[in-house]
Order: sequence, then C-alpha cells, then structure tokens
Amino acid sequence: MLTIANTSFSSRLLTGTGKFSHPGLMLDTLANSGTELVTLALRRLDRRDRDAIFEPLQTAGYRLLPNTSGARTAEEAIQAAQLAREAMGTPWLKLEIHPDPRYLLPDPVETLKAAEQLVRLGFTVLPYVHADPVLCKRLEEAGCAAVMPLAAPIGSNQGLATATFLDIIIEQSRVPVIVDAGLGAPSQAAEAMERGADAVLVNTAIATSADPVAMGAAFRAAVEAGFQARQAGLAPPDLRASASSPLTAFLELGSDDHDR
Amino acid sequence: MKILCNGDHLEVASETTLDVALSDYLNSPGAAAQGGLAVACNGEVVPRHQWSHWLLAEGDRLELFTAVAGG
Repeated sequence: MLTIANTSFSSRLLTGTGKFSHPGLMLDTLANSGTELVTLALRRLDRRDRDAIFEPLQTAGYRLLPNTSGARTAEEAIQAAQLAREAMGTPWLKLEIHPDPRYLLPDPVETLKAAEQLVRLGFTVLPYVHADPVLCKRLEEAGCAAVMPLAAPIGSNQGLATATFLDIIIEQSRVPVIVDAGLGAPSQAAEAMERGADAVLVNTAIATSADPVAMGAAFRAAVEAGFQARQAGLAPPDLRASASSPLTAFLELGSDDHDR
Repeated sequence: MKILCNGDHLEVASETTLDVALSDYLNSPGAAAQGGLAVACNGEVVPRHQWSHWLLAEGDRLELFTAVAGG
C-alpha cells in the first residue's frame, strides 16, 4: 500500500485530468487506469464555459489533488491553495510554481517558501520540484507529505532524464517520492518504480495517446510490474555472461558421442 | 448597490448575502451549494461556510474560481 499523510492507496499511479478530448473519455480512462488520486486545476470561472468535471470525479470516489498551476510566486500559490481548498473541499495540494511558460520548470525558492507557509496553514503539501535531492530534503523537513520530482519537463514525454538524481532522492527520502512529469511511456513508468519510486504521476502520455483508455491500462500494468520488480529485488547487471543452462556439460556429452 | 463579479458589473439589493449573489450570477438557485466553486471578495478568500451570512457591500469586487481539468 502507498501511504501519504496517513491515507492508504492501492494504486501507485496518480493521474492528471488535463488534455483529454472530452470528460467522458477522461472518466473512462481513469477507471481503466486504476488510479485513486487525481489532479485538478483551478481557473477563473467563465459562466459560458463551465467545465463539469468536479462533480463526476467526486461522485466516482476519487481523492482529489488540486494543483496551483498558474501561480508564479509563493504568494500567488498560497492564494490559489486557499481557493482550491474551498472549491474542492480538501487540504491536499499539489504545490506547483513555474513562472516560465516555455519549460514550466518549478521555481525552487518560491516553492520552498510557499511549502513552509502552507504546512503551517494546515495543508497536506505535495510539491512539484526539479529532481534536486537537497531541495527535496528541505521540503521534507518543512513538513511536506511527499515530494514530486520531475523526470523531464511537463508534457515532454522524454522519460527519466533525471534518473541519477531521482536515485539519490529515493535513497534519502523519508516521505513518499512520486515521480511526476515527463514520463512518456509505460516502460519509463516501470523503470521509475524499479528504481524505487513510491508512485508516478502521468497525464499527457495517457491523455494525448491514440487510445487513452487502453493507455491507462498499460500504465497501470507497468506501474504494478515495476513495483513488483522492486519488491522482488532486481538481479544486478554484469559485464560478463553467466550461463543459465548447463550448456557446456551438454556439449561435452555430445562430443563424447561423436568421438565414439 | 453595485458590485463587480469576475469583471461584470452587477446591481444587487442592499443586505444581499454572498450565496444569493452567486446563485443570481450563475443563474442557478443551487449554485452556491455546488462543489467546485471558490470565491474571493476584495482579494480575500471567503470560506464556504460563511457564504450564507457574508453581506456584500457597495463596490465589492468578487472573483469566482472553479475546478477544471489539469495535470
């Protein structure tokens, strides 16, 4: 079981709800992915274009993880967090502060500042950060419920570009490590889990695939396989070959026959 | 009295509470009870449980936010 802030989850696949072509497809995909924790965003209300996704997600029983996407400073993120808590009825928060729209890379200074204040305000904070082991440790010390280091830029589908640093974060962390952003294929999610991540968060790779419902199932299977492999203990790599079958003995027998 | 709601100028009766103004603005009687909605009044987030007795004042500036899809 994955446990975040004393809450247990059977699924280690978190999913985003963005970029689906319509809400029905999103709901079918989430159901097929087995996810239990899904992210949502907050936007200034447009009366003519109300996005009716909150009610169906809540009715379906998902635990909601509102994000602070759009916030460029700690101050904006705290305001967004307070709005999100009222809108979605949960103190859980994916804290994300990325001022640069081109690469959407999280601002570490503003993120730590906001995390410290949000923890004091009673939020369950899951910060989206670069794969920086020092920063992740600081966020853990600040009282964050988990850390969410990126694999690669959001929506880039580049996979585990930060693998070396994720390994250090995983080795050091006493809170769950959720690899977030940039995972483009189920194989990459499986590798993140094999490396010891507690969970992964996937959105773009599922939502923008040719068949999101099927891709949701593929990521589900990959995350489960990767987790099981980690639990089983991977056999170490070796430069040299090591025979798995008694091949030499068999050949010797054969050559004996031939000699006779 | 006049208030501003997401940039729209609204005329409301004096003593109007926030939940009533929201329902009028959203043209839906149960709007305030629905989830997925948050309100800031003059930049301050108003907790949901205060909506029914939060009295609006002339010139108040409301900002409404809603849950949307996101990653």
